[in-house]
Amino acid sequence: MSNTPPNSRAVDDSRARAVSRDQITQMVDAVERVVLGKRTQVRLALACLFAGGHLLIEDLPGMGKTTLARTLSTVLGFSFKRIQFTSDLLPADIIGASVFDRERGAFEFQPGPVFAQVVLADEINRATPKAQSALLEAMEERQVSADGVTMPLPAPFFVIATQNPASQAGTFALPESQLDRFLMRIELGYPDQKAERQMLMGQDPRRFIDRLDAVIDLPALQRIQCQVEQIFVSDSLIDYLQRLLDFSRQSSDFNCGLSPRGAQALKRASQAWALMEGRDYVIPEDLQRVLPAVAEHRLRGASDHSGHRGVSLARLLADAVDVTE
Amino acid sequence: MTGVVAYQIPRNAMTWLLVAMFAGIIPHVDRLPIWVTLVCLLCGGWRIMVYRGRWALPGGWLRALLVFSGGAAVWGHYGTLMGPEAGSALLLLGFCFKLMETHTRRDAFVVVILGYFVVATAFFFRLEIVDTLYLLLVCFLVTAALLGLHQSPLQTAPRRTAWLAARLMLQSVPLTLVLFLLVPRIGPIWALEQPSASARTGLSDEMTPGDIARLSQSPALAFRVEFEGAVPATDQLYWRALVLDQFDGRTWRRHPQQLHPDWVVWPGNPNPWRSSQQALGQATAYRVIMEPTDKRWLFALDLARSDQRGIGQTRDFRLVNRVPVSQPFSYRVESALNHRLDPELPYWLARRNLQLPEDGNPRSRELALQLRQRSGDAEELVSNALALFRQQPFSYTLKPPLLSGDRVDQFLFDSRRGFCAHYAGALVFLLRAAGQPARVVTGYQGGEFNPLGNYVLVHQFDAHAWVEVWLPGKGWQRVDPTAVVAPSRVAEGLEQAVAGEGSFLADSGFSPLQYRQWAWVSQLRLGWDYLNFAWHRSVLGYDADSQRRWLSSWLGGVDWRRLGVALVVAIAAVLGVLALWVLWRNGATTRDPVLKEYQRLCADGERRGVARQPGEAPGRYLQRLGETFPGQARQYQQCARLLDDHLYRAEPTPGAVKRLRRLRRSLA
Repeated sequence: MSNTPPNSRAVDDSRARAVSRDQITQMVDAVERVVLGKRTQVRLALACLFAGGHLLIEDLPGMGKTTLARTLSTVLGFSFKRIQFTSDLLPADIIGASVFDRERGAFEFQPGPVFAQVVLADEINRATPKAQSALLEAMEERQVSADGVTMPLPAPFFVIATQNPASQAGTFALPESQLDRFLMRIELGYPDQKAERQMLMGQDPRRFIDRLDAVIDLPALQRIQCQVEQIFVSDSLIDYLQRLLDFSRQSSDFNCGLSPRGAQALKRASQAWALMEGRDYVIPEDLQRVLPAVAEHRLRGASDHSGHRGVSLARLLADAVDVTE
Repeated sequence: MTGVVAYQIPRNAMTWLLVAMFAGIIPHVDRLPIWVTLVCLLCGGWRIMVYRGRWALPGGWLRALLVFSGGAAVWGHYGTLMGPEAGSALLLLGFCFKLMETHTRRDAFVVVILGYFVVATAFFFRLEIVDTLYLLLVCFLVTAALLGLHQSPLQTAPRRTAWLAARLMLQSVPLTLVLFLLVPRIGPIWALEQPSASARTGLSDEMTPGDIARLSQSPALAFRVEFEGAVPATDQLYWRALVLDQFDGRTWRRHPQQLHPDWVVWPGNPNPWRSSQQALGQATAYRVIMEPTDKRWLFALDLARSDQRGIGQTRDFRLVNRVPVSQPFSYRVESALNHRLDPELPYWLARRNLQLPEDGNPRSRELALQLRQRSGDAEELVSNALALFRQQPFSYTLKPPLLSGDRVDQFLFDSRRGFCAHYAGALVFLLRAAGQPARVVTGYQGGEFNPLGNYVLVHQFDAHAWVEVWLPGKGWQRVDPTAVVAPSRVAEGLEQAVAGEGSFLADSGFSPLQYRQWAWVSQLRLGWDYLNFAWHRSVLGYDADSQRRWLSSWLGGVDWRRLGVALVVAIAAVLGVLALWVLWRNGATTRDPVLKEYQRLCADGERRGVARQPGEAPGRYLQRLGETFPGQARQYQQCARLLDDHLYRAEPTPGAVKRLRRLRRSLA
């Protein structure tokens, strides 16, 4: 690379970014045809994917969680498995199990649904912690161990989990340590009037899911993920990020501040967001845009025992911490 | 107990509280009964075990038992719950008990406040420079605990808390100085009953030569003297403290009348014995800064006079304080080294100074009569008596043989070994027996000159006893028989006088005074003493008088209004400087010139009614400004682009500062 003129690389980069941006726009448009009026959430979910993190979608039943997750995986065009979490789900149902093969006279490992590029863990908080942790271990390590053999999971490995808010009956809330492994948690919320009317008047948009084409392939995704890492993060922005972290750790409003993993997640997510905005550098607005999705589920208020005050805390962070020194 | 503990004191705060508790007890340990210390340590240990999760906090009954028995024990020990001694013991116990039952935030605050009180009460008893530094350290620990209580439980780095506490303390220094210097020193509103004479080393008001087989010497400091002019020769430095004029054959004592109020005249009152004292020649002025003695008598060269309030002059021309000196105390004295005292001796005074026991010591009385017959007048009598000490084989020692029975006889004719008390007592006995009024004076003689601060240090081992004899026409004259026997004692100090015996400070092996032969030890010791001297003079000695003097030199006169104005101005100045500093630190300025321009832009925007929110990114804010002032939206947009490029983009554009400045000026 050393003999190429200095500018040509920049030109290549920007051309590649333009291509990626087109693909991203296509993906957003495709998903939006099914999930109506949720452009921001869709973009956040994609940013999460581009940043190489896992996504947690949390909302009340019937808000379109599963639809969003299914649409995303269809658009991505990767191998897709879905696990419905129930209270009697066992780790083997996720990872797979060794079965005796009568013909060969040996045990053979039957891979479970976790061996897919996109795994939809539906209603993750309905399963017992034992089953939850089987998946969450795979999420962090990107490999599973069964019968003493460690097997890598396919790449990319992207988990989209959905859950009902923890205070619903019959759920096992994910502990903080496991929540921390999701790069983002997004809420869908009720659709606006226009989108809802469109849905009610027309056909069920879910029918479109099967008809959607994959917009992106593996090399394209890997290129995008590589571009995310190259998005420039300036000293000023790192200063701002550190002020945010410092505030969350020092202020008495917080029970626990943001972890270093949370800090890394914030940085990567804002890089992905900057890419989606078509910029090759991160500005504070990017950080603030992804802050609620990345930070809310990691924060807990000082006098908050139900764990439901993360929303106001993230807002406090964004409002109280000075962007410039 | 309800099982659920809603609030837990943050680990950080708890650690600091425990450290502060142990550190706060230490200055009290030597003074309090041992059981108080033990109970405190027990409470602290218990709290540590609770902290580590091994033990539970004590139950209600146990706590009640502890509190009541603690109070009862203090009452039993001191016989009262009042006063600084019992009060501080009670406070310390309360401090530890409270720490042990602390589980809510409010309790923790109470402990912190108690901690500050514990520090404050330590100042009742300790005022030395090292003590003060140490107590400041404890104060810092308590502050750190207070800060820890306000921090998130997740903040577990004690160093961070420490740094914050240290900064707080440092920031309070200027205000402390202003308050120290300017707040009027009025007398205490409440009088504190000072702890009475616990055994302090120092002069005794009795003298029993012969009972002491070995004079113990203390290297402790008695007082320091700062002369306003030249320091008189060492053999002139006889610091008078007591006059012992009653002898019962064994012990020299003060006449009971010396304790009578009429014996002292206070400044401002007519001095009935003014005519008895005549100062001849120039007076020597000096300031004495003495260590607490818990006694009323003061030290001065004769003939001493002090105008300070509360210091009186006795009929025997000594200085006394109105109350026992229980704190380091400084006073200014003018002494006329050349003087005449009692040129006419009243009959009653002559009789008192001729008093001797009815019988005993026949050989000495016999000797006195012989002396009398041999001498023509009183002066010759004295010189004959002194010649006796010179000619006979008397020797100076700190390890004299014990005497009993006719002690003066034994000393003068048999043992002939002793220290100042023996010689002074014997000489007065001889003079009185010969019909010449005489008395024993005790105090200190000599002192060590510290060239660093130009002052004289007088140690306890400089304690001395000598004789004053009344001569017709000349009044009281100082005669020192020790100087005849051991001239080096008076000219060069005790160390030289007993050099052959090797008994100097034999009991205090660790005193740096032992190692005077090493120059650097001496240097170090004198340097350290100078520091203490400066501390005593400038900080502890800063009383109403010196404040008035200091303020008059600055303000040209002191009255309430000027003082008030000075106080307000000084406090405002200090707070102003601090505020400026905080402003400067927290934002108004930054090193980045582009950011500086942006801050000016923000200031402009605020003036135009659109203030920047802290969480607002530059791009967002400038956009808002552009929306508010649509005519200038383009310029604001340009600013935003420049800022983004500079702050967040990989390649900052050159000349951004100039362009920003131009844009800002066009906007303003």
